[in-house]
Amino acid sequence: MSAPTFITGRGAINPWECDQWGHLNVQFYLAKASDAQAHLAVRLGLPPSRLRASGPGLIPVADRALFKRELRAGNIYFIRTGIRAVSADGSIDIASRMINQETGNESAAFETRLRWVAQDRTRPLPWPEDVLALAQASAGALPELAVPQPMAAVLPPGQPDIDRLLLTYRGSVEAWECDSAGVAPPRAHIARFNDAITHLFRAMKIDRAELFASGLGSAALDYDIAYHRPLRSGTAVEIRSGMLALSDKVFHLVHYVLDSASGEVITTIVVAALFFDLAARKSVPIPAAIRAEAQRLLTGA
Amino acid sequence: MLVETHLGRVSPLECDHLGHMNVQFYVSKVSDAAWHVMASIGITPAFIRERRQAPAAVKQEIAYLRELRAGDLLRMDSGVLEVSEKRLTFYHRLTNVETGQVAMTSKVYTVNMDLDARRSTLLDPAILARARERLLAEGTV
Repeated sequence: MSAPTFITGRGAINPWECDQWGHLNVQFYLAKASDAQAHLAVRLGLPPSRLRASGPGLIPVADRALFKRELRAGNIYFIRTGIRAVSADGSIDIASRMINQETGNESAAFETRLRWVAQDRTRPLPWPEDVLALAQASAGALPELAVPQPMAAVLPPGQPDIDRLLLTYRGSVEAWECDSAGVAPPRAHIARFNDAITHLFRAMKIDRAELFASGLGSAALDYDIAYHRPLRSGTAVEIRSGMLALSDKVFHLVHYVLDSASGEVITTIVVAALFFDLAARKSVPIPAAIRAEAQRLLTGA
Repeated sequence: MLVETHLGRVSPLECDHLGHMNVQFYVSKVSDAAWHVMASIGITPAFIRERRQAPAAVKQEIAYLRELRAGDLLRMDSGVLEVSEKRLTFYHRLTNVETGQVAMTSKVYTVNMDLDARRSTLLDPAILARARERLLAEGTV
């Protein structure tokens, strides 16, 4: 039997959410998906008042985000969400789809794994019984929200060799990015990856302005994110990045968000990305000069 | 007819030192909702791009009825209150999803604007007809 889906978000795209490539920046997709998850949480018996009063909290531990069609300033959208599965390990898997309300096109797909954790936002706890019962009652097949193909297995297993990766970001987590528990939401992770890519491009001898002038832009296709630890206000963080794979049009790279003090990995994200023609809004083969530099990074890693 | 025009959440960034959502963000949510209520009568993003016209706000009335705090879940419902050849008045009602309490109501008075001439212009007849069909029933507001 099919599980129900719910409308969990509705809004409009504003120019100040769009980037130099003229479309909604990736960080705002995740921000809107996070807000939609909060609306789903109400269906699980976790409205804002209960979450505020509760020591434990609801956090994403993994996110898959597939960017399928651009959203541009002036577009209107809605988000539909359902519960795929409640697992024995204590995770709840949900699926959300962001739809361009005017065209009906699916703009983005999000597959998110949620956990119930202690006040330290780290230690997993069993779900409250009423929440678990509601989640189980609403979980099941979601034929409207087809399961995406897994991302290509391009990330080598095991711990990263940080010293062989490029330093692509260094900064700190600020209070205004965080929730009332002092933890930054997915948007804050993505905003940093977005900054890191510009530094990775610099290592590939890509000047963003020159790329723009040549009529090309870059876009993310697919994110596979693991949130290992909370990204807390006041933490000094850095990102180490590396190229993982190259094909005719698509390149895969990895970013690790690290706690600069402890060296612990806070977040891992594998990104599939491409270049596109800014006028035709269509993907193009990776330009030869960029390919050579990407190959050099690939070999170096 | 009221349609759902926004479903979102209050961000900590939108709250001021009084511990609640600052007034500017009520207006921001009305602004986002406006694109949906306009689309419901045919003023879609494509219509605006192709016909180069859209309603521009000239006056707004707001009643702030309940405070909203970071994390509160919001729904906006909106509709057309009045219509004439160049003018549309939209009504917006913002509800706290958890409590069901209405947190804000607003009337936005607009004049249809030619986006190239930057002057008022007549509403498209099909838009006018659709707006008249979907006018809010008396007593809704």
